Amino acid sequence: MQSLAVAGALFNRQLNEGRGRSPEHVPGSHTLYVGPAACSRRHVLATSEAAGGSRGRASYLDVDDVDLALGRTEDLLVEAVAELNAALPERPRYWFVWLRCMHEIAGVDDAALLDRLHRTYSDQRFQITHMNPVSMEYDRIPAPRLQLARYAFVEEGQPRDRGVTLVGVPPRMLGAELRELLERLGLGPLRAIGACATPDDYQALGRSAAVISLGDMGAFAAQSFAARVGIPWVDLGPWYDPDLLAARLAELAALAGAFAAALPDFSAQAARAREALVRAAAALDGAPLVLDTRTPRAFHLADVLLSLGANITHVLCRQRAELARPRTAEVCARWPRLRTPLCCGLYAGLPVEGVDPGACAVGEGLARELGLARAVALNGEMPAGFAGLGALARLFERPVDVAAATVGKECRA
Amino acid sequence: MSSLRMFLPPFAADYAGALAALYDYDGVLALDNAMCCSTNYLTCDEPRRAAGGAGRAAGACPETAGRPVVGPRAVFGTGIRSADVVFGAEDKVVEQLVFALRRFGGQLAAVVGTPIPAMLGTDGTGIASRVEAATGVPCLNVATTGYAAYDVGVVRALDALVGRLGEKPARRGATRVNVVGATPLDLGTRGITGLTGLLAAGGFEVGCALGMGGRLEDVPRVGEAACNLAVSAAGVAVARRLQERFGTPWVACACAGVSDTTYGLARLAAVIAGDDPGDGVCVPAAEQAAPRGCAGARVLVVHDQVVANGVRRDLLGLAPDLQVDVASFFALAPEVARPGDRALCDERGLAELLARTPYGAVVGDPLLASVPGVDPARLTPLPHLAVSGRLSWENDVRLHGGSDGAHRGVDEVVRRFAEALA
Repeated sequence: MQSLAVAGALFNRQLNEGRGRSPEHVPGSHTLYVGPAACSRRHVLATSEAAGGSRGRASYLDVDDVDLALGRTEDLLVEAVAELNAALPERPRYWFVWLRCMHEIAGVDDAALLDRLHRTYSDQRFQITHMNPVSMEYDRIPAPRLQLARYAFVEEGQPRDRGVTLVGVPPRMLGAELRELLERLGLGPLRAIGACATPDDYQALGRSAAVISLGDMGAFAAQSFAARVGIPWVDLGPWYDPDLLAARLAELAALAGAFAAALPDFSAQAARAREALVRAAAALDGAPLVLDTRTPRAFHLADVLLSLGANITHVLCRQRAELARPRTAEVCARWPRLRTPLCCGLYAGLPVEGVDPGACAVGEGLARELGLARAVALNGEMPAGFAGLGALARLFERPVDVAAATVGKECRA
Repeated sequence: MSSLRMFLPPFAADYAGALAALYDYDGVLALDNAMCCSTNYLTCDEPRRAAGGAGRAAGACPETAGRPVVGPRAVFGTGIRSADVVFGAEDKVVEQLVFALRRFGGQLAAVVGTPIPAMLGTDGTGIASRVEAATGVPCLNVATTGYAAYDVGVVRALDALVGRLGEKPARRGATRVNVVGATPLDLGTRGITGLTGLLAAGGFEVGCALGMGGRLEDVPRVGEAACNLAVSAAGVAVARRLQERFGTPWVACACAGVSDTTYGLARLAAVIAGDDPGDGVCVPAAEQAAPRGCAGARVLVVHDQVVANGVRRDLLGLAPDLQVDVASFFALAPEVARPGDRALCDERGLAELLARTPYGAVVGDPLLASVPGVDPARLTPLPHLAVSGRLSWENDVRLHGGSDGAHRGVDEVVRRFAEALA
């Protein structure tokens, strides 16, 4: 087995993961990316790709090393806001300002900057967020913080209605099953930033009866946002244990109790999902399986599959922080033979030793990186609801062949 | 304030140019960064990776799709973290490069800088020396900072490559021509196969390609060329240095389209025959005296300078009465500029130029359509990947070899443009 270099892993993962992301546009807002071109290019291009393009929605302030060394960042930023206020067709209500690693290292004073912006432009609101991957080892990775930042201006709305605010994924990813459930519970409308057309829609996110989230990034943002505006939060996963999912849905149902005619019983659906997972684990027939943390809540999935008899040998981690989470520690304690090397972003765990050459990877990208021939075609998607678990089980039952396994340098002659 | 950009994205940074220039050599490339720079390069500025690998643009490059792609053994980000900022990251980068060379093999290594190592004063030269000492593999330090544009990185990388591996020539090939400064950021996703085919058909021996399409084993013989063909403005800068070091004359021409190719091949032949000094004054008297009627429409071509010059030649070949000016957000070499050509500081510079000059049409990247003063109806798209990056990977214009499927050839673009003007 050839070992996996942190280098190649970082490379390949970024190819798959880094593209096409742009923060959902908040109506009435403007996003200002601050820093050198080196830092902001893909974000601005991603915004250009998004519906509506970047015009009027995002700008980029090129602050170079001299500006930084001379402490001019703050002045330039304040001037840029003035210029944009004059130039944009509509004066923004909200400003999202993204700073970079170098601003953190140079010690840009966020609080003073924010204060100055608010004093200078008292009719506008500003949110400063650091896009600082340099701090990933010790802090939460930037993406969840950026996601949380999009909710910064939503205020606690009264009176509350029956709405549900979805955080983390677009509504379509919630799936038909969960959407129908919300209807049965008398909850609605389903609100999400991406669906907001006006600043009022955006503020309505704070009037909902519940905040629900899908995905870890969404969970962080939802938890923090919900706590700030005093709305109950239900973490919809992904949960790979049908009983845990049923418990979360019961929480949601309880929240909706006032609206729902009868609280649904999820036990039959949970049982069917569990049967599907058991079948999937049996179909693997003891073949070694390797996951990495591109799979949402990979440790939870490993825990569930191990408990069903699957032979998970490795969960490859991208960040030290992933290993430090309490849930991860619990899983590792429960399954001491599970290997959890750091294989990306940090040098500490360069080689991935002991991966069986005949192992099956969860994710085709991971299979390519590891040089494995088979993969479960779960490529970062998040299963939603019991139907999602059923679909997930079918993927495990039918691994796919990965063409031309390559490591690091792909397709070299 | 000149540093605010409202209409155009940030352009490809110097490290992207450096990596693009070194991509085709058989090596291991380390981008010393936290994360964003690697992602910017890989997802916005390196179509070859997507074409040969697992990216979405697998069909974007028919010449390489499904076939082996020559590229580096590995490109990786060093993953600078807070502790590295405090304690220094040189040891870590050396270990990573040594590991990667042993793991992936390769005949070349490079450490390419970004804003954080520039800010910290990371000793790239020391890293390169230590990697060489540990592995015996030549290792380049490309001192990019992330604050400059891609063309600066191309020059730095190729300078470093030639400085480390170029050897004093024992002889010169009579018709040997080096292709200098090609990267996808200027020439698009199609490689230089078409270009080298044109050169071979013109009776020239293609020597060393410095940049896209390059092979490491050719680099020591870079001084053996009878003439260097600079195919980009960055290539012009490199060609100047090659002239200083090896005395090699040069011609600036991207061979973009029929007229430009005719011009380029003729210039190469003249230089090799000794009829043209090839001393940097690359606009010959004949071209200066070419018809430049003020009666025709005035057109602005915004691109890399050498590519834009080629488009100008093609346009004038079809419509000699046009008045065609070239502008570039990047380097503008005075030797290959004509009166009226402009270096643009940024989008504002373009808007101001258009406000004070009555251009009837603009040829340039599709994203220019959003710049004030650019009439989208009068903009002929000629993608410049250093500007629009991956947005144009699947619809860039073929500079060599005519139209092919979704990829239009530059001759077709020019012909339609000229017809529309007529």
